[in-house]
Amino acid sequence: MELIEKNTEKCLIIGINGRLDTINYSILEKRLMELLDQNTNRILINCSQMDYVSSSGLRILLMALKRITMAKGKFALCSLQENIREIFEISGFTTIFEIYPNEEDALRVF
Amino acid sequence: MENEKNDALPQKTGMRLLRSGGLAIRYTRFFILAFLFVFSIAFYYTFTYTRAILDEDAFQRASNITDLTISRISNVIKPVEQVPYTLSSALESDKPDYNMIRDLAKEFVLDDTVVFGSAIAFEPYMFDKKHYRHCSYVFETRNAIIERDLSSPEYDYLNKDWYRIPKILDKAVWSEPYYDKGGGDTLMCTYSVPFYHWINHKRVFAGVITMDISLQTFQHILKSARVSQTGFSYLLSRNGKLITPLGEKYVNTDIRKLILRKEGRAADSVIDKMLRGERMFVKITDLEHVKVPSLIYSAPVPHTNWIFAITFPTRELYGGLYDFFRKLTAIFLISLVAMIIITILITRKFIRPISRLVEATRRIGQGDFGTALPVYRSKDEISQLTNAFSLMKEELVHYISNLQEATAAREKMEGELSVAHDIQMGLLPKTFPVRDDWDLAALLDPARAVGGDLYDFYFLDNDHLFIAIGDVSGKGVPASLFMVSTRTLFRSRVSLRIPLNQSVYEINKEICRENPNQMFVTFIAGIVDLKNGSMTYCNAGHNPPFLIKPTGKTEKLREVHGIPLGVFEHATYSSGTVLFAPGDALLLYTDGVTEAIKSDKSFYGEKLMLEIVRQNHELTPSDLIRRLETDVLDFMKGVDQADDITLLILKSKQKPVQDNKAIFMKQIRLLNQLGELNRLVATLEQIADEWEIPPKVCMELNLILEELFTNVVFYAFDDGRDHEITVTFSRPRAGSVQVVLEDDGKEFNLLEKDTSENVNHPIEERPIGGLGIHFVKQLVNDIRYERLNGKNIVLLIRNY
Repeated sequence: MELIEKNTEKCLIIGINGRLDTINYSILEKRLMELLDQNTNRILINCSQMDYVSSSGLRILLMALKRITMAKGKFALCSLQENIREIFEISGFTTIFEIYPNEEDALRVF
Repeated sequence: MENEKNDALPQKTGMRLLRSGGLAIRYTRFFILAFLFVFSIAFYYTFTYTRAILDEDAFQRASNITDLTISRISNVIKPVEQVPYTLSSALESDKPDYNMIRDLAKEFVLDDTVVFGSAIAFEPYMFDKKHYRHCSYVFETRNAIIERDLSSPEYDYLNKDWYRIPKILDKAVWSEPYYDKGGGDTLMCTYSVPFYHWINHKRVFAGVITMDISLQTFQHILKSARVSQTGFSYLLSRNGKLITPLGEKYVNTDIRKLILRKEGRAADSVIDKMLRGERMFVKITDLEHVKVPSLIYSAPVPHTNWIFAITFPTRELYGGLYDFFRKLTAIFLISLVAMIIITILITRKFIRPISRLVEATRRIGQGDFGTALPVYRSKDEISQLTNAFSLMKEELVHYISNLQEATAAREKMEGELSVAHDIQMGLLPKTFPVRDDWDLAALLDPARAVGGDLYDFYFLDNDHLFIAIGDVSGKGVPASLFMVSTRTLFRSRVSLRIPLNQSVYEINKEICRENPNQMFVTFIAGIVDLKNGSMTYCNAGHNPPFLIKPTGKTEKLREVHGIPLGVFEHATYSSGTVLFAPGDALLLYTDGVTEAIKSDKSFYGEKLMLEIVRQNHELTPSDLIRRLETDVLDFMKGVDQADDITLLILKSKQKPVQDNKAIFMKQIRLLNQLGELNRLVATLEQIADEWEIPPKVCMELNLILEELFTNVVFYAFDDGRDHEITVTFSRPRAGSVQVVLEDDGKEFNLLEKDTSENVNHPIEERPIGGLGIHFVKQLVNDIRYERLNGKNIVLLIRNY
């Protein structure tokens, strides 16, 4: 897995490239916690290149959402692959996360 | 520069030695004490001796002066005593011519320097019947002779001492000094000689004739009688009165009054002795007029009853001595200081090379063998010491370099041995293919880096397995080389075309041919027909193997088919056969197992080994071997492993019930490590590829298996050891995949965990975790859990 960060005026966009699973989720966890500690609390996760997500990965996203919500920031996901979107649906996360079909749509609400 | 640096340090060390009571201080202290001791003795002796000499000298001088003075006084006094006798004789004649006698006296007074007056005094009415008193006195003034009549009642000579005492004593006497008022009008002493008249043939006292001497006369004599500068001399009368003045005063004073009170009785006794007229020489510490310790020499003046005394202060006597010793002490102190400095300097000079040596030795001690020992030119003990150190350093360097070489060689050897160990272990086959019908496991624990035991197994063809175990006599590198060559021989010679015993015979011949060290190896080789379960084997002097029955009973295979290999070139070998029934296992081992020694020297033995086998016969060969190994190692705890431990178990499995539905089946064994997840995913993807599982389903299966696997890894074990997790994929029918996960961890039924509600909780209340199991439940078509034989078994079916 690879994280690609892109800073825009509105928010920080993090692209997740590859599999987000039990073995490597800590990379994302570490990075997100770092950002949150620096008060970066407007974050958009671009999932267009995320092939796989395990429950550990979802757990990190959930934690990030919780912390950012508490800090009155904004956290959203966009460009989920179809398979991944189904996982989100199964887990009920589609009701929790703000999920946008693509980056432009997402940025509009930031 | 370097020299300077080298110099600086030892100097510092030298100073340190000096401060911390090193040699310099000790020598200096010693020298000072010795010097003080010797000097004190010399000082005391010299002082005492010199003082004795001075005392003796003072005594001599005092004595001489006394004698001289006394003789001078005698010379003065003798005529004074002589003349009155002559005159008295004249006065005692029948018809004395008084005028003539008076003239004679007058003449004498005039002539004699000492006598200044002379009186002739008569008893009442002795001169004539008319006069009660008659006394005529002639005396000398500065330049004239005066005659004076002292007959007046006012003067009353009859009661004067100079008249009364000779009358009473009836002999001539010297008076005490007195001031003759109305007579001579001066301080004088009078010598009175009585004279007598014969009246009626009776001697009757008629009067006295006197000679007065002025005491000033003696002052002249005494002035020159001095021992020292402030010393002085004087005359005392028998009663202790001063006849001559002391410092212009005290004439006629009793000498006793002049002794200070504190002298007390001691002084009194000295004075008494003096006045008794003994010649003496004493030290007296306090005379009032001197007030310093003084010496007194006294002696009686003959004829008179006077005492001559000479006094001089000891201070003056010893003054020079004290002065001398004061200077001597000053010189001594200066030389002492000089001596201390010299001693310190010399000692430091001597110590410096030692200090340098100490410094250099210290550096050498720290491993700096490049340190040069200080050069010391003179040929003394220090140079010998330096040479000895130098020699020691060289020896040390030599020794250490040897040691380093030896250590390096040993390290190299150990390194090589470790490589040899790896190579040897690499030669041993490790994995037996997973089969339904047979299972095999083997183990070799070398006692040293490399061992002389061996085991081997390999397939001769699809249905024939070769197994072997051997034990080379000896241990270490030679044994391991022997073992390798034996193994190679077997690998090259054993073939299905030749009977096994024939191969063994050939191999033995080969081994014997090239065996200079007379090593040998006990060996069991066997060829197993995997299809019918029969094994042809040849035991060349090895420990008998055991056949383990499914019930746990063991059967010893006692057949021996020949002597160990390498003993005798022409040895022949036979062979035997064993039949494996389903469930039977063959246990091969070396004596490293049975002869493992405990700290109390007892052997592990067959009995214990078979007991473990009996208790654990249901285990797979690898588990049973591990169990045996653990048991043997426990048995030997605290004792070095003496011999290689080698075990091999071949088991004929009981045929599992065939699942006909499973057209395809794939199994993977994973360790309980998170990293194994990658292998699991890889296997899954491979299966998905082969079985044409759509990517979406594959991803979901991935998700499911990841959750189940990580769950086991995280929670099933807490003993920190490796465990095996088996994942078996199968396809019961087209469009369906079945996965079975087995682990021997803690019992955990994930299905009992209710997770359905979590999803709909508001975000803040939703617990993190537990999500995975929710996924699993959501994504499978069927899932079951079973606890069987101490294992968690999860079976799931996913259709596609």
